[in-house]
Amino acid sequence: MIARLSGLWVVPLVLVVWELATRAMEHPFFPPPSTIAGQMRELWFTGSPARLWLNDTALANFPQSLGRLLAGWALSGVAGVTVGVALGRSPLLYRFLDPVIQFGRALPPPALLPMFLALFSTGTRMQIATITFGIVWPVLFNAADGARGVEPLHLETARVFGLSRGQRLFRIILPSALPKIFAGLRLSLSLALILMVIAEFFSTEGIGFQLRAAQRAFDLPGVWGAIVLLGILGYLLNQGFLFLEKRALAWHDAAKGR
Amino acid sequence: MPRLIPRRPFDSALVCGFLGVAGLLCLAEAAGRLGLISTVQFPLASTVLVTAAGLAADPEFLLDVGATFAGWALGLLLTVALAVPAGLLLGSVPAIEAALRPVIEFLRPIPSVALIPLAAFVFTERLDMKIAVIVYASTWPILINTMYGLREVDPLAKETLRAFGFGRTAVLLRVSLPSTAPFIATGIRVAATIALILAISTELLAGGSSGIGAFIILAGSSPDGLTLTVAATVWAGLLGITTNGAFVWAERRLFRWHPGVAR
Amino acid sequence: MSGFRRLLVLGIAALMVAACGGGGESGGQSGGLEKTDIRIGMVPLPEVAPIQIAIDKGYFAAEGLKVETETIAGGGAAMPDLISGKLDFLHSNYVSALLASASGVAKIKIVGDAYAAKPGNFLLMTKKGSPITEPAHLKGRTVGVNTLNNVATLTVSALLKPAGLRPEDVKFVERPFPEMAGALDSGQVDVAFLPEPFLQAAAKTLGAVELIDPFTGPTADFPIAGYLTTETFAQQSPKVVAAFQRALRKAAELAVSNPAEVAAALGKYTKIDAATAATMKLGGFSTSVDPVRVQRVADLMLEFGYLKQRLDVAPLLAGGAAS
Repeated sequence: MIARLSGLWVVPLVLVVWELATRAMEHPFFPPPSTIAGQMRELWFTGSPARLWLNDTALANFPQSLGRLLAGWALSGVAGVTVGVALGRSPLLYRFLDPVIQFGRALPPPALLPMFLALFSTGTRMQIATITFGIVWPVLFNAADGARGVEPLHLETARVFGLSRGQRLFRIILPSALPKIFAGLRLSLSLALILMVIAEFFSTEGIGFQLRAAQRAFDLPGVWGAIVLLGILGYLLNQGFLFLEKRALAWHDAAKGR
Repeated sequence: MPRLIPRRPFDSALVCGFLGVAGLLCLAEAAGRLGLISTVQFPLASTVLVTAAGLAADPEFLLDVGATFAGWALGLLLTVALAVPAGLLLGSVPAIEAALRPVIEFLRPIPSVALIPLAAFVFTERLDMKIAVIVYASTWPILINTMYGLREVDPLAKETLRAFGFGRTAVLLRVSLPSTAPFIATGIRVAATIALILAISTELLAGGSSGIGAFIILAGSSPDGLTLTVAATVWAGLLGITTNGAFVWAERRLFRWHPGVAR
Repeated sequence: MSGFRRLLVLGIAALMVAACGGGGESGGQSGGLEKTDIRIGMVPLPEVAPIQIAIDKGYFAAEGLKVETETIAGGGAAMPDLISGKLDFLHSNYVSALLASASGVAKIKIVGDAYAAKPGNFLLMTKKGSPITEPAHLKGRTVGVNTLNNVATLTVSALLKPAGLRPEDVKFVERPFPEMAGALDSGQVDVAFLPEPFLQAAAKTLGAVELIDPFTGPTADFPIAGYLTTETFAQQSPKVVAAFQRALRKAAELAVSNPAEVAAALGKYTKIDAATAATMKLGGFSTSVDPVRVQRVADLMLEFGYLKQRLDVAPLLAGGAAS
């Protein structure tokens, strides 16, 4: 635990440099971190310790945002792995869908919002759809790569031993694609935070909405507060993910008998 | 050698790809015609295609596409020049990687939509600002892929070279870099798409005198703005397909020897 | 972090160089103007037609100014571009301008007026057959506006007051104008705040009906937008500001007296087609800033909490803006 915390020594260093630099600049667009922290406390952390200091504003915005983020991420994981593995195992399907996929992933999500609004109306469903669409690509490509790279000998052996299609998928293909799938899931997790913000621009609550409102009011400490909050959330989500990944891959390596 | 004329039509990536796109367009058109998607809310696929074709003949729009493309290319070039050495450094010196990891994980999920107004203040030229935003957002996939790639380098090859008395830099240049190159290339391909999205988003949020994003702002002046916006977005998608195709082609040529690429 | 910080430092260094070097570009031949090449950022809305007219008719050229326009997404969004010197003049709504000024983010001067609302220029619209027929019915409803915390939300707030409602009694949602008709149609918004030509199009494609003209009674002749520059620019280049004001006034006078000129100009800097441009309700082009009316905007902003304390607008006007 101490070893892990000592790995964070660079954080106070960065904070001190940031504080000194912004104080020297004295520019309204770049408030010092102490001002930002004060504004963040004011905005979100005036609640009682029993509620982790979160106040009503925070409780009205954070859980919704995080719920949408995780739902979108989970959906993109399921969709990305399903389509990705299918594409990786079927060159024919790959030839059919490749241009559509390359086209889809080059579309800027802000320009796609009207389409999702038309399909899903406003609200949670549309936001989850936007997040899912925006972040599915890394999972999809990595799953396809992983499924394509399965050792042919393993598959041949499995066939000789009479494993069914389903057994081959769950015992050979998915496990051997797993490391790549995890790499894709990790990339898409931090993308999910970004898409969450974009999807919430046209709503009435959530962290993205609060960022937009602060921008509109020229509340620069508030804008920076939202930025810092997103950074911290990103760090925590990533740490949580690495923890899960370690467990899953350890189990995976053990199952492979290494 | 690929066959010039495929024996069966479904062997051709071109034929299949065309059919895939056509199928999707038919689906979208049907959804609009059957009333699944209100045409007041989102235009029919056919309307979008006609408008998009019209844009191809609009010299001003072509200038906009050129401006977006130029910003994208410069941004991506600078990203590669910064992110690859950074990834090599972080990947080969674990102490630095461990120290910087919290900072990187903190910076990665910060949306560029939040940073664009701040960048708009710092930079006095629109192009510089666009490039800076692109570099910020598209650095991560290249950086991370380079680091992952270094981890996968065959330790035996490194040991062998070291045994022959080669120094750290020589090992990096002769073994690590060549075997990491395909990973870096994949990272660049992912970054290229992100860079394109960022180029357009920056123009869209910050404005300017040219660019696909500036065109979309202009389209917002008209009640038909949504159709024009979607048509411009179609061109952005086509730009994405073309550049991605170019990268895939280059990767296949450059890394023919690599087991992950040769198929 | 270090890379980004270096970029920041570089950027700021470049800014300083540009700020110091900016004054040196003055041309000797153009009546002693401090600067001849100027950049104006404008939202592609009908209200900036006089700028296009002044370019086309050579009014700027006659003053010795070479003008380049840039399309921006909004006055508030482009404020950093004005501060950093990418733009010399900025077309902005007054609410964003006063918010920026009061927050201390930008030291700005108002150099000219763009537009004041005239009857029928802006409407609050509902779907045909909507149960909402008067402002009192808006309680708990969703109102679509182009920008939060801005002209639309402020005027709707003012409109709710006589009906005994507070701004918190309605939900404001941001949607771009071209998408508003779709949002109204699908019920994503109950009421839409729409300017010309969007209100015309919503009536035609959807049969949307007028709930009320938001700029009547206490908000009649509401000043919508003006042209801004930075305090520094106004101090260092008073002749450029004066030249800009003269050309703009001449163009605004032409826009008021001859709507056909406006329709022709719209075809050049917007995507509004000629048929729509010809039938649009225009007017409201203004030749000078009315400090009393702009003060009313500031006072309304104070009343509804947009501003924390009273803001005196008179010192914000640059010389000659009001005359």
